[in-house]
Amino acid sequence: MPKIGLRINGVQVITEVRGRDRLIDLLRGMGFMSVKEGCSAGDCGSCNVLVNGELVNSCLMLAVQARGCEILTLEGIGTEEKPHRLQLAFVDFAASQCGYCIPGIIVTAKYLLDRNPNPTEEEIRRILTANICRCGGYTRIVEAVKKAAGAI
Amino acid sequence: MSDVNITYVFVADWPAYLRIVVAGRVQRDYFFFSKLITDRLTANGVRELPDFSIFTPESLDEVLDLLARGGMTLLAGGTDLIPMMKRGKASPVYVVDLSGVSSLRYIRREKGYFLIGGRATVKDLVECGLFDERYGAIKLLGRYFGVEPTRVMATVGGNLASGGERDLPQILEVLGARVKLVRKEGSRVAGPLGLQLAGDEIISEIVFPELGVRTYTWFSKFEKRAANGIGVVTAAVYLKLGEDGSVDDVRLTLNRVRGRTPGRLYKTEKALRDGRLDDDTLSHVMEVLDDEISPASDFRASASFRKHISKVLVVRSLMECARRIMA
Repeated sequence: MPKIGLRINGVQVITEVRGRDRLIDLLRGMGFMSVKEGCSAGDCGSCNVLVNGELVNSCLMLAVQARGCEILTLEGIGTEEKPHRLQLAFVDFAASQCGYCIPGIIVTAKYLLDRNPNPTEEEIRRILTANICRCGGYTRIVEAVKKAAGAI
Repeated sequence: MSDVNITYVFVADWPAYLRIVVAGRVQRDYFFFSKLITDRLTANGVRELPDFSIFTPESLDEVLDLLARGGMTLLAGGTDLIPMMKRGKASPVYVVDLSGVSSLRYIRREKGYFLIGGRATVKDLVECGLFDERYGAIKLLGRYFGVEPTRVMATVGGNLASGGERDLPQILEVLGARVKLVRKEGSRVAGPLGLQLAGDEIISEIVFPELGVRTYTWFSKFEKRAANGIGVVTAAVYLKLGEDGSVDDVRLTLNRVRGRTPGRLYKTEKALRDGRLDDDTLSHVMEVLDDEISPASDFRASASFRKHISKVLVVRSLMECARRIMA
């Protein structure tokens, strides 16, 4: 089994993985349960994480492909004690219904704000095509991202 | 035995269900569970990929050595291969991960040509800053090629190698690109459409010439939802206009020319060449296009609808190119 080193939410990790272990398998196996498996095909974005700052479907990346990389999951974005401004905005707008897709959406939104601190609604909606919310709660989600970006 | 009635119901893939009814009475129910599938369920309910061995080479030479052994499956961005493994459509035994082969990830401009490494990602292509507005077809990948994570992960070589109705073969064809394939003992050059890789080959580089003056390229996709859909029709266009506004040169590709096969529209191109893009010429050109293509029907769209949309996208793309060249 290949042995890999990577940083997850700022913590150095060295672990053995099997070839077939995807990044999502590794992360969930280590207890990062914010990473959700939805479609397993790169459509729904529920498993989105940042790998070296790039938005990635962790269900389509093998764990070995993340060797030497810096991984950021929702757990690394904010905690209950110290939530990220995106998370606060999502609470303000009650932008979560069943909540399954929200970790992936917060990761996608963080990726957007990291690159583009003042996105237009069009840009927010365009990047969020990477995520599917089956409750269909998009309006509040978009409003929450706008608020976090300081637009509201 | 005349009224033996066998009911066989497929619920997704597994478990399958079989009921045997004789003379109206249920004799027996069977449920079939595939051991293969249940084996893939781990404690937390996540379906695993089928088992394979992984190699993580760091140079092209190492990749070629591995490929020469035979039986290897290349993994680049994973956006095609991993869903295929999930659906049981691919079960590789040896997987060669290309993520460590950084020497294949580049985009350069050299002596009038663009050189693109096979492992360059779609996002690299869209955001490298080397392409001006004439390369509209490449820029539009940022809108039409999957979603952001797909563009981050998917590679140019992977899209070419997976064959079929893909965006990059069509766009690279109208850009006049050639694809370099290498193996341990030698190399060859092929066009981007309908690439068939041998088991020991890898796409190392894609080369196309810089566009000249009064040229433009465009790419458009008709999909059945606003984003991240499967393209019903995709069209790529390269147009060069003369000083007088007549068509100097043109290259057109569609995702379905015959059946499900993407290709060039040579007859339509011929009908366009040296003419002007006025209403009379275009209506004649559309008749030629109508004769030239015979797209296959499927559950997404009928042949006649695909044909109609093909014409719409080709005309729109041509007009878009012409408008921008004239501007």
